[in-house]
Amino acid sequence: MTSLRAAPHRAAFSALGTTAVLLVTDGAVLADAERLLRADLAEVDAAYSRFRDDSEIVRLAAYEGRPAPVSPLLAGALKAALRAATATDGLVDPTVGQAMIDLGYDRDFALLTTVIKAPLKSLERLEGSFDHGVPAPRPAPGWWRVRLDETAGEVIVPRGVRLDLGSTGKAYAADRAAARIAALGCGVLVSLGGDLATAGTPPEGGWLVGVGDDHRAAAPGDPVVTIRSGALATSSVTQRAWRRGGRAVHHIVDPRTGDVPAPVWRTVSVAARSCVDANAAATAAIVRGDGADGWLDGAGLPARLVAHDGRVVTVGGWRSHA
Amino acid sequence: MSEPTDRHQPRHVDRRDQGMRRQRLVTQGAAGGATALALLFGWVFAQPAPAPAADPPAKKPATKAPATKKPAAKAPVKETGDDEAELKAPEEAPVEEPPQQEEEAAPPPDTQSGGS
Repeated sequence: MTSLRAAPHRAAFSALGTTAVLLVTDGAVLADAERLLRADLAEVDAAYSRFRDDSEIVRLAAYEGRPAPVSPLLAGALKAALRAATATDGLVDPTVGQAMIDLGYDRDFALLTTVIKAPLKSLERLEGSFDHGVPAPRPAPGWWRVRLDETAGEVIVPRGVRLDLGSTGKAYAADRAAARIAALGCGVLVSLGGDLATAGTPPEGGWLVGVGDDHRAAAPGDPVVTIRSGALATSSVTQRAWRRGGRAVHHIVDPRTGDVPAPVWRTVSVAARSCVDANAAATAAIVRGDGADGWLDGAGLPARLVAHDGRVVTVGGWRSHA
Repeated sequence: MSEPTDRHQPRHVDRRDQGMRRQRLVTQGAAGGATALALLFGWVFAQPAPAPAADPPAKKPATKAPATKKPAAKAPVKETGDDEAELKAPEEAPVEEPPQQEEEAAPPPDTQSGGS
């Protein structure tokens, strides 16, 4: 890689409770692309934010198991979530909404003032036990109970089931926005909280992406990878972590138990054709724990896994210089 | 002693007349009250219901027979060969940049992928 490489044109702003980064290869379309992305993300927030009483996904609860109309945007996001659930054998499941609430993640993370946010850096911090008064974890109801009729624009969510598209929602938004912005005639990379999708012709030399625990800043020793197409997503238990019932918990839930998964992998980055697939695979790997490296390799998905003790494993053709 | 000149009808007729007038008043009052009540109830029930804070669920009449089976309690078995349910690999795997020598200036990454 030469240092004469022209950096892509960039815009960044806060959205969906995280940071949105927009890179385009043509500076002339940056303003239009940013306007398009902001409008897209506003629609996404109104459709499936779990923290807005007026969002479509929250209002589904009022239908209590009866068919509910859904917008094409929410129908598309639900379809992506249900497909990810099938593809990961339910390790990524959109029916973990109540489990998230039981773990204390019941509002925008920035507003979690009643709990102590605790960044996780080690295995020890995940140890502990539940205090009395904190609901015991319960398995998620199961994605197969949600019936989506995309043609009719209707969904049936059983009574009491709360949906959370946290594992696929941002990724779906990144895929959707990248495709729409590429139609302006440029190469584009859309990153939402470190889950990034690309479309169009990449810049010369490809997109340079740092990979680490935190999407906001690179740590010393974090590798930089080049991608030319597709998507790259990272799931990590070191971010969005807090204390609940005397122990540290985080935002990745094992649907089989309704609790945080066993601490095996700290951070998993996966490259895939779409950001939804990359993020579903990365989250499923954290949930799966032991054997996740073999599962990703078997699926042919290039991935980099970092264990809680700092050990790094790369699989699926991820070319590492470490 | 002269007879009273204002008594032009017999006493018993006057009493009966008074009773009829009283009865008519009662009847007219009852009819008026009933009409007023009917109008009041009509007005009350004609008022629109207050708008709900959220869109109420549409209560459509059932167009299908009720389900005869319970929903599945277990996840359906994944069908083999279902391409739609497979996570798709990228066309090219990411390539890590080689570590830079100290005298080389590595270009900064365009963005960062990490936990959020």
